[in-house]
Amino acid sequence: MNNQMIMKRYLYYTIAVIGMITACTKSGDLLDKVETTDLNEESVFADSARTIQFLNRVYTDIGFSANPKRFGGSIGVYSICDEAENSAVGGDQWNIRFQNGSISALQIPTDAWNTTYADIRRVNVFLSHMDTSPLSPALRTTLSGEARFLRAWYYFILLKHYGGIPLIGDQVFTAEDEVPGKRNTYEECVNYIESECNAAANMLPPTRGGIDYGRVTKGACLALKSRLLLYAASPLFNGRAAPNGNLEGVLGYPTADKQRWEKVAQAAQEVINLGVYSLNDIPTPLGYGFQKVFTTRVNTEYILAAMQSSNRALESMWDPPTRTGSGSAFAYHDLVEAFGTINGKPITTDLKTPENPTGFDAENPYENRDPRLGYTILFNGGLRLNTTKTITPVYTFVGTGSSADAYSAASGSSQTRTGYYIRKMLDDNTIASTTSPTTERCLPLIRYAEILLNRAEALNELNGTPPPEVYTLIGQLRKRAGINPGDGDHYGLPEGINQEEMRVLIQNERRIELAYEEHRYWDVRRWKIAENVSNQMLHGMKITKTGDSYTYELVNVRKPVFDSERWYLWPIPQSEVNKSIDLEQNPGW
Amino acid sequence: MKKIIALIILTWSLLPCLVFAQTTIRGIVKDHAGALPGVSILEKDARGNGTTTNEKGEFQLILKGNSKTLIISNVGYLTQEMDVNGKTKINVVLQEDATGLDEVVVVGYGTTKKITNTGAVSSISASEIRSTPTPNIQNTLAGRVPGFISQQRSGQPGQTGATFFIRGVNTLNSGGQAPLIIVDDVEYNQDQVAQLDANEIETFTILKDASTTAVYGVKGANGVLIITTRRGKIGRPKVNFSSESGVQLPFKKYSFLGAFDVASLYNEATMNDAKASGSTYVPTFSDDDLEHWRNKDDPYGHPDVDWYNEIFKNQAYQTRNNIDISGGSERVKYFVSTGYLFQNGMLRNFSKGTGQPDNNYAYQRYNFRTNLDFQATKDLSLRLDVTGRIGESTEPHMTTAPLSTVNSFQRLPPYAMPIMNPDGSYPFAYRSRDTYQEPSIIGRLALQGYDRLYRNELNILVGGTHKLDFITPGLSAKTRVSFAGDMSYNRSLSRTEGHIPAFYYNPETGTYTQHKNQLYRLEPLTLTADVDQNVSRKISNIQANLDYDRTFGNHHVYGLVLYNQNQYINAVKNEEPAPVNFRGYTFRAGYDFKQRYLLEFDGAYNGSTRFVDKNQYGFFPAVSAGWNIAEEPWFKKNVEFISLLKLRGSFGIVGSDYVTGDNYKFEQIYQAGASSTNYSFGESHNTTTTIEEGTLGNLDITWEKSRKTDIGLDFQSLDNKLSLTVDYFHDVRYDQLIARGSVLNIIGVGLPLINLGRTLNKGWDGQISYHDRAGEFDYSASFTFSFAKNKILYKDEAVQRYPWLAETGRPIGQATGYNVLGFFQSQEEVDGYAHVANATAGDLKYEDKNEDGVIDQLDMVPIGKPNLPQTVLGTTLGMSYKGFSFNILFQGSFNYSYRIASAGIIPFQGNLQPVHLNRWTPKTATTASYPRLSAVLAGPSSPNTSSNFWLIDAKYVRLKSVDLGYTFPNAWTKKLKISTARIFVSGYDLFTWSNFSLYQQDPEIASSGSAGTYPVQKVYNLGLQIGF
Repeated sequence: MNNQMIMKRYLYYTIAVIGMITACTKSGDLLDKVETTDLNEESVFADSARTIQFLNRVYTDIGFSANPKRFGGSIGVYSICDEAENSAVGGDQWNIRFQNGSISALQIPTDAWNTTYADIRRVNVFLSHMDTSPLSPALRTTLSGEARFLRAWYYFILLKHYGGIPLIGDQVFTAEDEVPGKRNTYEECVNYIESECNAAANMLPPTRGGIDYGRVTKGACLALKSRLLLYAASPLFNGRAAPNGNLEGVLGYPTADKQRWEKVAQAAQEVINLGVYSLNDIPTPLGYGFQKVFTTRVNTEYILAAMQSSNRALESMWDPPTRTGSGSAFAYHDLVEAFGTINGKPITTDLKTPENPTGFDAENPYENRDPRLGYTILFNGGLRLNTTKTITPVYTFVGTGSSADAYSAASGSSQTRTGYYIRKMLDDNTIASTTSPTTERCLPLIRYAEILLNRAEALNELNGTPPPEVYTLIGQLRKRAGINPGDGDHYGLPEGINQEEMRVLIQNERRIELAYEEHRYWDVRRWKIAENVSNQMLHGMKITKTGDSYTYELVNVRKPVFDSERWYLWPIPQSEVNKSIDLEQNPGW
Repeated sequence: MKKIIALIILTWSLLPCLVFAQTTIRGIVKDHAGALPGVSILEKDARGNGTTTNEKGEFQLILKGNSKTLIISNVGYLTQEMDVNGKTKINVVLQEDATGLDEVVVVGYGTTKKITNTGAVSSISASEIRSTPTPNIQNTLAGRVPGFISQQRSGQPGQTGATFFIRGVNTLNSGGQAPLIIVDDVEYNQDQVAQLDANEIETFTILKDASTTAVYGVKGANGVLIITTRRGKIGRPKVNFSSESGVQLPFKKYSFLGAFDVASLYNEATMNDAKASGSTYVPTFSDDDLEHWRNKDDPYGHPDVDWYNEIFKNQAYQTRNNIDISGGSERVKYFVSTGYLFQNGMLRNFSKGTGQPDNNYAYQRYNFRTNLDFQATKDLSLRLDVTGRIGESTEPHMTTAPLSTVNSFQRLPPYAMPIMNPDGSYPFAYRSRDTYQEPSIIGRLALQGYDRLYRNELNILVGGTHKLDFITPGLSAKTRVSFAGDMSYNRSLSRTEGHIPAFYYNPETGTYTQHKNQLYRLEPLTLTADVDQNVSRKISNIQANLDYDRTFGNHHVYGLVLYNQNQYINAVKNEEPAPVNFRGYTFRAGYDFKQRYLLEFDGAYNGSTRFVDKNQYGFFPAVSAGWNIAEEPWFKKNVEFISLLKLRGSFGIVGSDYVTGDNYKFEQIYQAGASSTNYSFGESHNTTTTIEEGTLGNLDITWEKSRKTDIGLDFQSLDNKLSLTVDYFHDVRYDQLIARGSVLNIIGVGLPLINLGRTLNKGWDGQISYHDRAGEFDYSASFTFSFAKNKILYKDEAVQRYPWLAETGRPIGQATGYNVLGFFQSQEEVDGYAHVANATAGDLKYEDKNEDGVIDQLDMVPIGKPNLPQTVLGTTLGMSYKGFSFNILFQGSFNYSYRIASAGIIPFQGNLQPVHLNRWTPKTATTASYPRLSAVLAGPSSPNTSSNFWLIDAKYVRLKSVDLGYTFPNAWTKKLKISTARIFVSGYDLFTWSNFSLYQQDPEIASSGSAGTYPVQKVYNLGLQIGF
């Protein structure tokens, strides 16, 4: 063999090897994407079931603002106002930060901003595919109606936290788009949400049943409108000047107009006129319908609910330690005092005397009370299911034989620091222990009771003296609550009171009827009374047992701080404000 | 793939072998000690005609050319040319090369000579670190290799591998800071490196600048660690056996306060809290309780136990054994090695005698390696490397690790319970808070069984090198195919947490009360294999290249063209994720004139599956140049005492394709089925899953790029006794893949990655060494230094309200927190200055930076330094006299910060430590070193609130390794028919000097780490090496 032959051979071999590698890994194979999922925008919206699942995601967050665990741990909105003391005491816990005022634009939960806009985007993405969706026209209409309601719902949550916010319409932003930060005026926001509610109402049926139960109905749209207008007509927003020109009209209507209450009354009446809602009324035991409505999955009172699967969520949070709960929130005594007597009268005036045996008795303070008290708050001697599946009293007194549920001033414990636990919405048959059955309870977002209160409040504000309908509206609630009808079936409402007095009464009725349902915190703000009620010492009741008798001692628990300069609206998260020169921060932050 | 291997093997083996009968030269090559095997013999001007000496130093070569001259060369020796005209038999004595300038330096895909190298490279031979008693080779490099920065975060057997970086970090992608690791030209990850046995390793080399890393293109931006393994050399079979055993001792023993101190301080803390919040103080512990603890007279009613010492031993055992055989002939060379390592943990053996499985921490590992080289034909050599590791690490089956439990005040205060009840039953922590009243930790350690992680690895590499001198001299071709796979899974033989019978013994009544778990007897042990933890990784790699290296008179040229493709699949939980595929073309071309003027171009053209379209491929070029001043005739003439003076510099662009999580960041996918987003419609509950948008895609994403500049100086003088290397580097990383920070969340969806970030990293590193000999006394000293500082240049941050809130301009990973002005000394001072809620005298006084009267996040300023040391120094001293040798390494890290959080320091979340005795009280106001005590975990001075009070400006110096050995004289060993025998004692991390007293933790612990990190262990070790 000569050199040339060898060379040739080598050349062939080299070419072969290189060729082989190249062939085996032909460009385009090795570096091409390998499919790992077929879920993308195109495939989701080409499939009707997936399209619906996409919309269902918007429902998931529907109750985030009212979530009893909204701020992490077991801290919800009821723990940052005068409803309940939370067992969490760390300085970095949200209940402590809110209550002692150490909230800043940097340290503020961001869910009200981020969750809402994320869901608004989802709705917009959903709507943008409706024209080409394989859904039937009827389904398309219904689902679009649901989507538009949900978008309005999340905008309303934004509105109550921040005042006017940027409205983005049907836009779906891409990563390259300039996202606008300019805030719309309060009026523009109200008008937009209202028109969306109206539009959605026309697309949706009045009731949903079967597997669609829990989806948005016409009633939900009208009820949200009623709440929206109620807020808009309230003192905080109905006539609020802005400290600087950029915020003009953003924080509320620049000029007050009493006639805005007219629209509230009308909107509430539209819900009533649907004729599909009524209060859940069970005559015996007294007021039991008020207890039962929360644990009855299908009822006529819920207009909108955060639907839940079977759970023990509230029991494990709120029940006292002996009931295997974690005792994470303790009702303030101040709320207990707001409940009147069985006669529907305040405990300060309706005192027990031989002539008035059903009046308030300071020696037995939990007797002869509005039945809603016992269904809202677990007090010393209150009844609750125990681990052996019998119903026995829970004792919170300190002294002889005191239990794990007893009052304790020590912080960070599951023992009550106010002498009370929360009872509301807990299922009579469920405790936290996994040996107990679960409940199918859903959390109320809008109840018919609220609609009645909305209308009552609007009618009272519209007229100099409360018209008779106010009495009937509140009477309905009190009747269901199991309060004695009294003379003239007024359920304890005094006759001939003026607008001012009725306002106080309605405010108190809202406080007790809607306790722990994310109303109180916002109500005291829209009524503009937070600067008074949210700066007061909150109390607990330390009960000591000596022999067979109890002594009651009012103890100080917490004095929250409320700065009226800024605290009527939340700060927009500073990290957001930093990003855009157009996004104006709320005053004071 | 199979086809390729078959083809390669076939073609290589069919190559012809040719012999031409002409003049034959026989000879023998020696040095001053004896015969030299493996010496290269080449005929001058006869292309490709050469041979190597056999194990007796003999060679035989048939001359083909006309020059009648042989070139005889060997690494570490001066090359000789010999005229053999008319001779048939020659004797050659090679002189050792004292300058080391011809020393071979490993670089990417090849080697270069120290004298002509123009890049920033540092390397050490594995023989220097082989006797350091640590299971992880990377633990031995800090302080020895300039530019290598590492921190050993844990001492737990099986998890002791240090995390390491080359020249620090320079990217905002926290997962994308790790250097590329190449073992025998195949990519490894840090876990795999931690499993290599030092006995298998030949050299470590780190590549730091653009010119050396550009050949790795898209993977080179974080620097490259190259490890080469040992291979057989021509010679008779050599058997090496080594065995060593040692004790591990904790770097520091934890010390906790006893029950009396704890109870008194708890009362003090609750009193402080009551005062601060205005409520009434009720002592938790009565005077009677305190009296019992003071007198220690009630061991059951008022226990006082030092749990740390009850549960942990003072020392643990470890051993390492290796045997290897190497040798070879001209045809076949082999290196075969196997090793076994075992490391025990610090737990006392509570299961002893109970018949329960031993669940002490432990790690054992079997390593094996077979490296074979075949000279198939004169021009063709083949290699086959097979290597594997079988690892097994054990820990007790406990949800909260024993050390975390011992640190936790809530679970295990000193008075939690007695060690055992009088009747021999296990107690439970009856004095702990209700939810933490767990059955005895001792009982749980004895009875709860173990969790075990198995990890098996197998790597195979097949390759061939073919000299193509017949095409043109100096040309060769090389191919490599390798597969690496590893699989790990968990197995547990255990009982449910806390499911052991436990009782509270009441000494007053003598009665026993049962724990709430209501157990009277033990459940059987359950065997589970945790499928969710299964991980299997596969890497397959193909490389083919052409190499060219030739000298024409004074001109030396060399070059490389390489094709490389890699597929990496990391499958967890039975999922088959998208593979990470890579394809690259690498180029190198170099030239030097008389080794005086040096110039090299490097480049890589790489593609990755992580990007698409026009962004899929990137080109990464680099240029470097050097000037060997000492080779200039005028310099040689005038400055004789300097043998090497080289200035070199390099500039280039290297890349990184790292993205976290999903590989296809360019596309938007939709996500379904997360249970947290389920919703329940229906009259009876009917859970539906939901679908949502994923993070937006960005088709334009592409590589991160690093513009690296390096200027270096190499210097040798005083007969090469003194040498110095120093490098300055300036490295701008741009187009970093980050999510934009200035887009309003109104967009409502996660933002895609975009090539926007920019950071700068610059610094110095180098080494000075000196070695000399006085008679039979050899000594050497070496000092290495690494300084690296980085800075964020751009990260699309929103405009912050105050300049100190911005991250741009600060180092990567710098902490922020309050600036502490001292302790509040009185309530008046508190009232007169901004303070956090419930602050009182003795709390930390935070600076109100924006002077708005409120302490909040707006007052948080950059504090301290990043957690990774910015300065690493090392000093190695070595000496030998006759059979004795002594080596010692001090390593220090400086300019970094860390803090401990949670139970590691917070009083009454963690158990109290001596530092808490120095708390502020009105009496100790001037001498206190700790704020007033508070039983509120997130109190006004909580260590969980970031401030510079809790952040240590850390530094430490460690006696990292010591090795004292004695080699028995030949005269003795000969009688035993062995060739060498050496005994040695060695140590690892024996002493530590550091500057903080606040924490009882190792200075290398990760910042913000909690208590419960298994402390780094110091090791005293005794070993024996025997060679046959």
